Amino acid sequence: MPDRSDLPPIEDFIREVFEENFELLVAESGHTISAESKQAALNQVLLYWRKLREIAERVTDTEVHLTLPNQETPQGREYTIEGVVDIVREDDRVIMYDIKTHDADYVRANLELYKQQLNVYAHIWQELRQQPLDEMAVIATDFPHEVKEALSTPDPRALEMALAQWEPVIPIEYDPAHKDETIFAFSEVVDKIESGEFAPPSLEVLESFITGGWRRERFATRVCRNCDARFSCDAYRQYAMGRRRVAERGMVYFIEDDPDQEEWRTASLDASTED
Amino acid sequence: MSNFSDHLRIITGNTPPPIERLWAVMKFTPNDAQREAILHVNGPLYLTAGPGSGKTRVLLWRTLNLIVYHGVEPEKIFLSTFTEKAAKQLVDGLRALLGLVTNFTGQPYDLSGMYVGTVHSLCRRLLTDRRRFFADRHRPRPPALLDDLGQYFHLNSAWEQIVTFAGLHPLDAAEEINAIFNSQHPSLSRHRAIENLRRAFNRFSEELLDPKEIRARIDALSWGEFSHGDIELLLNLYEGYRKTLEDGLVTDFALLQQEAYQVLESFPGSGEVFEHIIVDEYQDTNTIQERIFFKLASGTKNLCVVGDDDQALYRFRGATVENFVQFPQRCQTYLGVEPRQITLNINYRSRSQIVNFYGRFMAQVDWHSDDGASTYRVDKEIHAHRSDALPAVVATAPSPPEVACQEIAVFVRRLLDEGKVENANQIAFLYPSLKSRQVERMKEALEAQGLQVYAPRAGRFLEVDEALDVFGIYLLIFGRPSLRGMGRDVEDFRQWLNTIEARAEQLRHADPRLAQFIHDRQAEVQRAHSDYATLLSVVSRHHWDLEAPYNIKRMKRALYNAPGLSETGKRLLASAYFDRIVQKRAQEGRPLSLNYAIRRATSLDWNFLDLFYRLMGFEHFKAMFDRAERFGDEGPVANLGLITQYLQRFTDERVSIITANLLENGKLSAIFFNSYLFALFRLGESEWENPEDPFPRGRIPFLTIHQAKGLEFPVVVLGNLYKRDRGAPQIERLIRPMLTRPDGEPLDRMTEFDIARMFYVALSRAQNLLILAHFRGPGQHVSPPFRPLLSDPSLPRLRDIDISTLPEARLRESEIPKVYSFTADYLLYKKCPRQYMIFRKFGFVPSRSQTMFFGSLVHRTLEDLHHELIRRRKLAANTHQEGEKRDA
Amino acid sequence: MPYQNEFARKTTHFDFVKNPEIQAFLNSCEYLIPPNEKEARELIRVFQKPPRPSKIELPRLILATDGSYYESALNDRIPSTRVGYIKIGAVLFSLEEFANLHEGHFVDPFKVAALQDNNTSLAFVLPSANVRLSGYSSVRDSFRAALDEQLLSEKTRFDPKNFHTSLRGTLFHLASRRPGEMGTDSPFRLKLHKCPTCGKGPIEIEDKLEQQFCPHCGAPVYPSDCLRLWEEVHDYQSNGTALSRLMMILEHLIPIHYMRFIQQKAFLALTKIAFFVDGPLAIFGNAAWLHRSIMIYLYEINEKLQRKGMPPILMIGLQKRGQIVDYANMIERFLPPNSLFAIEDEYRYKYILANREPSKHGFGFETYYGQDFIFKTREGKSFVFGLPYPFKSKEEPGSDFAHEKTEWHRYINLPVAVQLIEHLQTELYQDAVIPIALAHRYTAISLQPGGRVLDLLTRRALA
Repeated sequence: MPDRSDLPPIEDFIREVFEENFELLVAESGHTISAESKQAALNQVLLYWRKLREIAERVTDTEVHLTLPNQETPQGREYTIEGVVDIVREDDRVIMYDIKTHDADYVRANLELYKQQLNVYAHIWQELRQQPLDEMAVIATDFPHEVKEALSTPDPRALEMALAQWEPVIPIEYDPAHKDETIFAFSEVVDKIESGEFAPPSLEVLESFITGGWRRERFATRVCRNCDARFSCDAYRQYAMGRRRVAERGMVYFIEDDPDQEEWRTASLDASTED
Repeated sequence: MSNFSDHLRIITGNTPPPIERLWAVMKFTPNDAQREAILHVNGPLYLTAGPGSGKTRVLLWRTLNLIVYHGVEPEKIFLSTFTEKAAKQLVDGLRALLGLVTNFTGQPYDLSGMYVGTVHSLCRRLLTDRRRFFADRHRPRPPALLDDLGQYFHLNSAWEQIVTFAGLHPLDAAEEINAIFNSQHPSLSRHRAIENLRRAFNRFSEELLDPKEIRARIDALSWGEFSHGDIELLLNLYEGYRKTLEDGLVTDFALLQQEAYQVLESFPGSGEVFEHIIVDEYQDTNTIQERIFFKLASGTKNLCVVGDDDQALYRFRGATVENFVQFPQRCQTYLGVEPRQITLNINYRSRSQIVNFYGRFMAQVDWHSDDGASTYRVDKEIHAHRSDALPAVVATAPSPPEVACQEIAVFVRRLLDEGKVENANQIAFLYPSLKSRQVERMKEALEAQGLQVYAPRAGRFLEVDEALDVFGIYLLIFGRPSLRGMGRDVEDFRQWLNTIEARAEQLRHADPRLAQFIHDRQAEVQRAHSDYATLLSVVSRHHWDLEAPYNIKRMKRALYNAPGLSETGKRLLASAYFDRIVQKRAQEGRPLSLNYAIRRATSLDWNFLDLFYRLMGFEHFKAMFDRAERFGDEGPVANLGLITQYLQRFTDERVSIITANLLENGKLSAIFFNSYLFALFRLGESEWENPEDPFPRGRIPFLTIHQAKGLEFPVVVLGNLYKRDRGAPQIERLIRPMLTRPDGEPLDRMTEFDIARMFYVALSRAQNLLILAHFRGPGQHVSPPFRPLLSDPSLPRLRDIDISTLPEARLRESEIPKVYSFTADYLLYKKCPRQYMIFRKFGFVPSRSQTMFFGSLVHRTLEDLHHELIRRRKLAANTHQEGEKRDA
Repeated sequence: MPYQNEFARKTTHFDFVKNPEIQAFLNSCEYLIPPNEKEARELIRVFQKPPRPSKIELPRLILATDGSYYESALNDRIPSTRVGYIKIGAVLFSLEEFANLHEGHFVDPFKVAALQDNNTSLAFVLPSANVRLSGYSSVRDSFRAALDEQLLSEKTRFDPKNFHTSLRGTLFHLASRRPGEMGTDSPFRLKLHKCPTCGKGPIEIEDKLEQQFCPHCGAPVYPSDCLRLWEEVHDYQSNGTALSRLMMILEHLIPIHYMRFIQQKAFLALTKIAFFVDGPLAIFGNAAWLHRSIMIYLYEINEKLQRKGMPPILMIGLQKRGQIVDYANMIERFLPPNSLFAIEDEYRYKYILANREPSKHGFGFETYYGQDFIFKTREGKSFVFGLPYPFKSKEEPGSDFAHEKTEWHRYINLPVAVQLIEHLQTELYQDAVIPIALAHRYTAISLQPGGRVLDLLTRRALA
């Protein structure tokens, strides 16, 4: 589709709304992110547009809220499930996309999770909304390491090649059996939430490796280290004690334990007004 | 040959059962008026609903009727409520009722497109609803919304700009502003001035006042106590305020509504976007809201308003009860049609003696206009559905407060002991204000009977145990600020500082590891402080300009080698990462200054929120989390969550990173305690309430009458029958001359009316028993409408009442299904239940987590991108069509 | 299940009982003999007028299941090589349509035949004596594999694309509810008491498509092994017992299968439909444990219905033959119309079962999930029917099950059941009501003239 002459090019539009959204989110959440992260977020959107323009231009319904009422948990609680997707409707086909800011390798390595989620959404779309559905896919907008590297080289062909090899659209098989199991698991979770079960995962889980992604990381690294509540968490404390000789110090606080401290420093100083 | 799924279709798929069948299943037997209201579909509906008349039920069933039996799509319904809680209850209730229909037919309903919420939240939604309110999906960027506290802090931080804009000098602006409102003894307090302005500005916005327009006719208006100069000044300040909002891309509640209204005005189809506009608690709407509603209904004319003028409580928020009382005329004006009026006047809540009592109470007030031609009250008579005529309203013996309170307390004890109420939380004590000596007396009397009290808004949030402990430790780490000034607030705050300091000392003493932690943090503060001095001395030795760009080659080594610079300082200066940033910024043409480099090198590794989360690792706090993890007491963790929200506001708006220049002369401590926390302290921010379980079992709730709005209790004690009539609020006197809309209640009578309405709300909360505290003695007063009722010899007294005649109250469980999100609930819980509890359930604000921000940023931008692409496609299609037309 | 007299061969039993040796033997036995008038008066004293609904609220729809099985030789010359067929019919019709069937007091058989468009049936083909699936070493293993595959097949699913909606999925739902150790928390898991190959167990098994194996011996295991039909499958003999057991299980499983999906889609639609099952509400044989799961399942649904202020599910087991039916026929002529009796254990052991020694836990403790009633309609026709017990278990502490199960007021649906049976009674088949008769006609294979075709088919298919 040719851009109309009186409209700004799409990439300019993206930069503009991105900046607006950034400011709005800072205002709303009271948080900010480092310049690096911000640039990475912008790149995700820009590369989504470059790589997936064909899909983006066909989206007919964005951020569609799907709800599945009348669910019941094993303990007899009634509840409703809610989710959000994007939809492409064409003359004879309907495609459902779930856009994730995860990387494609991670999605492929954990396909089961995504299959469950999309099949529940598909069920709602078809059964409740009585709409046809022909295909489903996850779009993983976190681009791969190769693209990241290509972005930092001045050679535009390197990026082109890296982009060509990137496969961010991961088709998800329609299999309603998945939805049954997922809804049941969902129901169990609702019971646990309602009956107040909030113990952290076990030490074994913290020590286990998370599949997918280009970095091999433990749960404790990927999840817990990004969680502010880890200091008061029994599971994390056990993990931390076991891994470092910190018994005499009790706990590891501040720097040693914090990822991206320097990035944080930059972002905070950027955000702070000169006093 | 059929198969299973065909059979299933035959079995499940059919038309919904008649609505009467659904009523039967839900054990609901509507009376004639309720039935008529439920089944009313077309044209404006004026639903006057007395207390306990089943209003919410009628609203629910009416909405269901529209959706199920008249095919109205949920997204074509706009339903406004007074609180988010009420909105949630309505949606949940509706979802449950629709679920019932689905259970019969297999036909599901999707409510996600329906507009339900407070006017504010609906306005916000409207402003982002490109699909429906903006031609070609193009919309201006809506500004971020300031809540009340945010508005206060905005006024504080933009103070200089605003007052300068209005031609005042920042130093005496507060006094000049306060002089408008109290010329005799103008306060010097900026806090007071901000509060005065906040009230005025909000009202200006709600009344859609245009400063230019007012100025044009200012000479023709007369104000009494206010001078034209006062008004000029306020208008100038208002304009200055609005400018600072615009510059900061923010808005407040009142202006948000104005913006929504402007969108409706400029969008051609805004009167047809919704087929049905339904407004609950209409008596508490204000001018801008009324305009929005009529605008939305201008096409379909299906505007249904529900309310009770007798329960109007929110004049102080700009609500004008006339909107409701005069709805029929307004309907004529705006929509050109007469509304159908239906009165729900059968009370299902209270025993008949209670209903009679509050009826007689209202009759004590003369509601007629001075000329007697009209009345300020909708004519009505409430009938009790419950028929027993046994005594249900009792007063204590007229006696001094101590005696009366004791009499009540003993009686309450008996009610509980004899099982007339199952739980203490079924007995509510209602007061015009909880900050009163009468409340204290009553609490003491109950406690003397071994009864526990729950008074969620009686105290300040800053006075809950968790806040005392956390902030006490902050005080130890950053040092106690010197607090200047006088006055009661200052004195109270000083006391508070004493308390937190003492508590923190105890905690430090009890936990050596915590003591060590505090010591280490103090050392870091000290280190940063001394490094700062060290580095500054290098700067002055070299005669460098602090604001000049930081030059690595020239400066780094000298700074690094500064004698006495700590290891941390060296590490930060030597950071290769930092060097890269310096180079990058220089390349981009925004070089970093030497000052920046020094601040960076002397910054701490943690901010106020980081510190909070580390503190939680110590036994005293950790134990609170441990209990909550196992479904124990959730109160402490909930309060801690609220602390993070206040800390986040501070790190966001004030100090996101602690740099050494802030540590000089206790500056940081002064900013945090004297400025930030003192403001919270004065504003009296209240403690956390669980919206789903508002009144903890085993405790007697003490509530303001405002808090009790919409609630009901088996037993209600009205703990104070007096509210002083101080005449029309100042803001009313200020605003009245500027208004062009029809006059409301006369200034000299409105407070009498307001007080009567407030007590009416209190009296009508009682189901089985209403107890009046009848104080007599020096300094004791009773508001006028109570007087004849209390002197009526037939009014039963507490000592005469036979407890055995009282009906027993049973607890009710609500079973309304909740909504769970796939990602935000299910997946988050699966990842870590504890994280779920802390961040999702109790709303802790994370300190560092960037993932959520990152995800939202990408998703929102992608959403905008998609909207833009859809918009462009449409434009292209239109152009194409026009082209074809031309060619044809 | 065949109707009385349909099996009837021209047997000459009169001569047979007159045989003196037989007479001598019979004199030493206790068995059911017709009562004389005086005895009969005594016997019918327990009958009372049935409860009647205050207003007539019959269900809108009827679903009836009935099955037949048939074992066929592959070849007349090798009669020992046999294949089994089971056909289960599910007939759905609305009472409104039923009203149109009547011509005066009689039902028009042509119109009944026309109703059959709304029917569905499931056929199962299973290896019996001396027939193995290729790749399997025994008839038993072949039978297991074939059964599991067919319970899972698309034709048994409510959603052909979703294998959880198969009959096997419903079996999981029931089996997971087994009380005690054998239950699981998840409707997608069940336990086999032991591995059919190595005998070790219990083994937990999932509802998935992939083949699962015994963790002890590595041999294949199937979810449907939990029915323990394999224990009765023989390599070299007729497998009539296993086939008839399976047919019976399916007759009870299918209504539950429907309930499960009606519940999912439109829960309250369950109150608009009545389920008719052929025979007593009981599961016999090695799968008898299933009766407890069904009891629990029905109880759970009924509890939910009750929370919505709705009556329980109307499920009626109608008996066409058996000892109670025989007994009812015997006393029928003494019984006044419009009388009902909820059979008590003591009465049953004494009069119906001819003084049989009562079982310790009461009658049908290991098999029944419903209570038997004898009912004579206003029109004077007698029926034996069962309604599900309104209890979660027979061993609730503090309850007297044997007594409580016979208390009419506990069966909230009893008045409607009585009303419905009266409404549906037919002249076409003795002791039958229309739906069961329809379901039966629909599935009665091989006993009808056309049944021979199946024999031919079998032979051709296996040739």
